[in-house]
Amino acid sequence: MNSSATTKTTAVLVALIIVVAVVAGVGGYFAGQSAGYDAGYKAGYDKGVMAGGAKAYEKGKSEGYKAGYETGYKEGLKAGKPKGPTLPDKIKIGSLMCLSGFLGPMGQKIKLGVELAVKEINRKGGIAGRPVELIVEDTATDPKTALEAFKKLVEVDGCKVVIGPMASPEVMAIGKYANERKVVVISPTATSPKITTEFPDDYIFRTVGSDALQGKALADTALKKGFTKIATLVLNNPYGIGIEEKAKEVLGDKIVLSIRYDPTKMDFRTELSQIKDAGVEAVIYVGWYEDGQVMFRQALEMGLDNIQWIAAEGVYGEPMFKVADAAEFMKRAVIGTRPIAPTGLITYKLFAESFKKEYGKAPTMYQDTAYDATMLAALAIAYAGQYDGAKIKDALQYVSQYYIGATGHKMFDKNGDQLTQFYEIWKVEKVDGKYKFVGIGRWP
Amino acid sequence: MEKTILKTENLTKSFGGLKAVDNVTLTVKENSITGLIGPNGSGKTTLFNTISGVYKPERGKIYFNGERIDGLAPYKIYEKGLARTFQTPRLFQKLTVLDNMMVSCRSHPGDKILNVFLKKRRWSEEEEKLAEKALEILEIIELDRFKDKPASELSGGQMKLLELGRVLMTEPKMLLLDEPAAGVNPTLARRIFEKITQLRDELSLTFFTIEHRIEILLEHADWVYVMHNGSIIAESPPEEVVKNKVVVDVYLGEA
Amino acid sequence: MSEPLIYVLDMAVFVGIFAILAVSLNLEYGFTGLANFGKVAFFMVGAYTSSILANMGFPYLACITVATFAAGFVGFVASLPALKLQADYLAIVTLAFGEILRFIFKNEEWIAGGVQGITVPSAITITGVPIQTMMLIQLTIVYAALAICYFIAQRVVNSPYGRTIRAIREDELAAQVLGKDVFKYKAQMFTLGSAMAGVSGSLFSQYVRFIDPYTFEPILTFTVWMMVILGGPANNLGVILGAVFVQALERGARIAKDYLLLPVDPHNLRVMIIGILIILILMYRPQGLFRESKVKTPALEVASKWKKRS
Repeated sequence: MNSSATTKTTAVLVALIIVVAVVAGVGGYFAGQSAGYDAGYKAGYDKGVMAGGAKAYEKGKSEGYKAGYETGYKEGLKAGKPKGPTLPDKIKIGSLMCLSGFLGPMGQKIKLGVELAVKEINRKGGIAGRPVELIVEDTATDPKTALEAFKKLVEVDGCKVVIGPMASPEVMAIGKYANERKVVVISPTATSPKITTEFPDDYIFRTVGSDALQGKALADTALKKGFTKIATLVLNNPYGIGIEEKAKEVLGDKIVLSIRYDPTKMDFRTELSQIKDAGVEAVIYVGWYEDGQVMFRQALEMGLDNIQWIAAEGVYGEPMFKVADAAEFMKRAVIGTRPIAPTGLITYKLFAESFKKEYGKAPTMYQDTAYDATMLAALAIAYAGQYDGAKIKDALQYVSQYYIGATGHKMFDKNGDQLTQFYEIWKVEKVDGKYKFVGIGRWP
Repeated sequence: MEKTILKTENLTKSFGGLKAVDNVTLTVKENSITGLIGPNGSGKTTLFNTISGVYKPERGKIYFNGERIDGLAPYKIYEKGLARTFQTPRLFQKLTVLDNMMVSCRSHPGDKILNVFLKKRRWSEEEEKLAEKALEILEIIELDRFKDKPASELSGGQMKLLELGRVLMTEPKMLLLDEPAAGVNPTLARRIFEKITQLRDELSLTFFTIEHRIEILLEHADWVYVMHNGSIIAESPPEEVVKNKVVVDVYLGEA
Repeated sequence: MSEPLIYVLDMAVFVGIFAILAVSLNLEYGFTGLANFGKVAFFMVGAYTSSILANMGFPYLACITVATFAAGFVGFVASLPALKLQADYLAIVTLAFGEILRFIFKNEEWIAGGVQGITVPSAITITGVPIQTMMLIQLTIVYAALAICYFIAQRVVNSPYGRTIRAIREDELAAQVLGKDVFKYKAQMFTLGSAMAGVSGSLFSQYVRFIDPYTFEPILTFTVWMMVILGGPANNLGVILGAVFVQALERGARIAKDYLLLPVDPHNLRVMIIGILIILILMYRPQGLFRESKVKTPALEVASKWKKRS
């Protein structure tokens, strides 16, 4: 063999070995890298899962703790509430009064009765130590305005009890809303029987008897005197018509003539002629001062003082005597009824004294029922222990059983009406040249 | 011989005891420009008011195109094709000039209360056409730049023009014009009457116009009636009226 | 839980009800020049009709529909004699008409309780819903009705018909000689205005739920007049804002007295303020706060695009 061939072969072999080595080396490198990656990945992953799980656990634990704590606190707070009286720091009593409009002058006076009650309560430290805040709104003797004023008291001021309103149509206007919003309404003066039928067994109360009773009183007076041919002559408004309807119920066909008149007419000779022509023995009459003065004066002119007139309380009052003929007519021919408290009540005496001391004059009509309404409201709030309409309503029903106010026992029946209402029977006498009203009996 | 388009017979209208229109019998030929002159208070405007239905005649008859129109309400007389202007323009003050024009719209579907809701598309088209027509006329009487201004902002002369333009919208057959160029500068007055003549020719309208300026009537009128104290005292072509002694006396007497 | 928001929502309901009345009067007076001082009469017809039907058990949609037609019909009948008179007499006659109608309702008990009035069920018959939701439903009903009335009014006034009634307002005689049967247009507008007042009356009755003859005194007509005059006659949006303003004034006085020392008691104060405002407006800005709206028809488009031909 020659050497060049051997060298060539060796060179080739060496090159081959080098190539193989290089390839093997490179391949090995890559293979090693891949295997290392896999192994490293798996180890790292497993460890990460463990660590992550632990972290999530911690997080969950802390969040769960927070949520549990909050809920627990809230429940505990509720459960831990004291069960005793929780009245607000200031106790609001709202009042709807006619401070302007037709009944404005009357309302300005009646408001004093409400205010007196509040003053007395606050002098004694309020209700359970909390002062009473009285909020008065003017209804302008208009049902629409009464509703708007009522909404202001309820929604803006947050009253749960309201003393008033005065006129029956005003009560009618707010009734449904009061029941919906669960606000107690106590009227000292609204006498329409319709309030009983429209708003039975709910949030509407009154501390004056329904005219259903006065109608009965007038009718009974006529019956007792043995009249069998009677006429009714009433104002053409809820007040007059309410009484007329009740009188008709009691007297039936003894009533041979029914007249409703417009008080603003100021001339009633047509109506009076009808009465004269009908030849009745008695007239049941419902009127107010201004029209009543004219009515009686003209009745005197027409010689109608030979029949018995039985009048409701609208014409009871000194202003009637301003017209001499009306006064004389009343002396000769008129007797009537008016709602009163039972006499000799010490509670009335105390009220009247307190009123005189506060305002310098004696109380007149309806200031006493307004006072009683307010007092009842305060007692009901105190008894309920919470400023909540539904609870005050139930309390009011209950406390009224035990309340003897300036106008007597003020127990409400289930319709929120007065269970009892007394009426005085009066007439007019002339004493020492002066006319005055004199009580001659009672009803019932 | 031309047809008679308007005829009155023994037309009489009094106020209190005063006969403002006293037994007036006259005819107006179709397609003419007929003038009516007379001193103040002679009853010319009252005559127009009676013919156009503003007053009900006491006695007498009025024929328009052969039909009796005495006793009809003004809007019905308008429907028959007889329109009028007022001596003092009665424009719709708060409405724009364009709106004033567009109020005159014969049988516009959008002018009926139910169509206002039901046929909006139909009256929209009609409305656009009406607006175009109004704007064309406004351009003719040179008031188009005031189209959006309220009528109250126009000058006296412009108001008279608008009064005229408005009545032209009505496509009448005959127009009663009560002093259409009074208070307007002479050049404009001339132009108004040239326009009237033009319209008479183009649209075959008839004009019966109250006018004091005899020179205008000389130029444009075919026939002239003269009124005094409620009666017609003369009628003739304009050039003869100026020579009529009775007429001159009446006018001199007034002065 | 007191809710001042409810008081505000309550005011919003009244604004809506009165806005409908203001729009109705605007059609009659603002656009057609009819001095209708008997607005309360047709409001009352709507209220009583709706209430009587509701008490008989009819669904509310029927009640308000019949009320609308009844009020429109009464308006139509009243317009026939009244429109023959001159403007000043129209005012007196419509005022008297309102009072006569109220007198009838007061004395004829068989119609609807006479002086005692009647209670009315609400239009909303679902129960057990909180009062806030009830208020929102009421607002929706009232404002939907207002939107419909506003739309109708706008359609009428932005049309050739709307142009004609304005022309009649400006100069009746000129309108006559331009071919308009003036009496027909006036009667139609009076009827439409009365029907709209009926809508408002029906909504009012079911919201306050008690009506009697004392609810519908002439002062209500004058309140609506104030809204129209202040807001701007012949601008429907303006009179709606007038309604907002007057209502806010009426309610505001009652709230203000709790925070400010008012010189006069709130009831009289608001009457005084409105009276003074009317005098000031009539003296210094008789067109009201908002100007008369233009007649918006396709004609405006044509006019703006107009190029001179000559």
